[in-house]
Amino acid sequence: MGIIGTRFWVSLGLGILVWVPVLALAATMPEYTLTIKEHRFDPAQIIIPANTKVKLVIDNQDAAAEEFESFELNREKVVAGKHKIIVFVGPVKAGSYKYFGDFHKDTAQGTIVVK
Amino acid sequence: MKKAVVIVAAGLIGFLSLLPKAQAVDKVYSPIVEGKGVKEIEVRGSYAFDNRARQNNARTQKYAVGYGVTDHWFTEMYGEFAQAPDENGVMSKPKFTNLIWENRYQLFEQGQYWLDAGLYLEYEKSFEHDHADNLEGKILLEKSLPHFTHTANLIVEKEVMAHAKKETEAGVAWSSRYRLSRSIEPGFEYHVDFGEVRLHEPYNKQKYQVGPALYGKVRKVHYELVYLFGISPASPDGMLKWNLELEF
Repeated sequence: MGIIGTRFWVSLGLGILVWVPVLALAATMPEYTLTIKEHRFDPAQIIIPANTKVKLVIDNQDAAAEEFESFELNREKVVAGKHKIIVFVGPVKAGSYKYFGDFHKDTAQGTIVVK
Repeated sequence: MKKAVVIVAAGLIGFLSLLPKAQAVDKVYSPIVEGKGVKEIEVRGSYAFDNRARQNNARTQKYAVGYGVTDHWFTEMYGEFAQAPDENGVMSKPKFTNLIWENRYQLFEQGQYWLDAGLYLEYEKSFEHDHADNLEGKILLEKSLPHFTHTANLIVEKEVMAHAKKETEAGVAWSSRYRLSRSIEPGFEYHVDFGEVRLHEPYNKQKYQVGPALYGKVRKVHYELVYLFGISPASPDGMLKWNLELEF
């Protein structure tokens, strides 16, 4: 096997060693859906595992945009009307983390409980 | 406070370009984009302090409107008004100097990987007859920890069109902030302008600036207030810069 062939197989092997665990982790990541309807989050409270990265799907079913914001979780992202976004949260320690919709603060409130 | 404000703001456009141009210090950009459909009005400025008449009191004012094209692509149009002193310290009248089209692209979701990353591309059109246009690219990197956020911009720029210098210039910008509260995030910034890359300019011709910063969000307005101390001979002794952004 020539030098070029050896480099190819070494690179491929390293790539597999790196990406298989990454993809495996992504495949097993907990996923939760938060729906925005009539300027409220549903559910208003979700429970996620501590010290674990999770995937939130924010599904805005209203026509108006909303901004998913949480200072404690360091997340701030606008969800356009009739649109979905993905927000990754964690890993975070056990506790209670507030979030809100900055465009409709009076009604768009919620809590992520981490246990 | 909706579309009418956006239209009015667009008519007030101003862009950054001190005389000489190398004095300009930009903001440190996060790779995180606001979101699809977001509209933004931005005002920013800078003011230089220096014992050299040619740099003292030089100022810029920049006005922009921005729009979230997709969840990952944000585009802005800037215009600039600038005033600069001559060799005797006599200030020029404010003049419109540049129009800029700026684009940020977020490569993946925030927190998806160990580091957040994005790309920045800007074209600056000069409205001064003896100035070149400018093309600028940046790699935007950010790492968020429970209480701290660190942001780095790796910068490359090149003059283009008439009067353009041949060489490419490079720089680095860094920001660290402590997330004390939503409205107050103290931190610092560090800016380096290496000058023309191939010329390997000596230290005394490069620009190094560092200083305290205050960031935050009050209601729907993001603000930044920074004071940079010049720590190399070519830098102004001091520079105050500020930034206000309203999203809606």
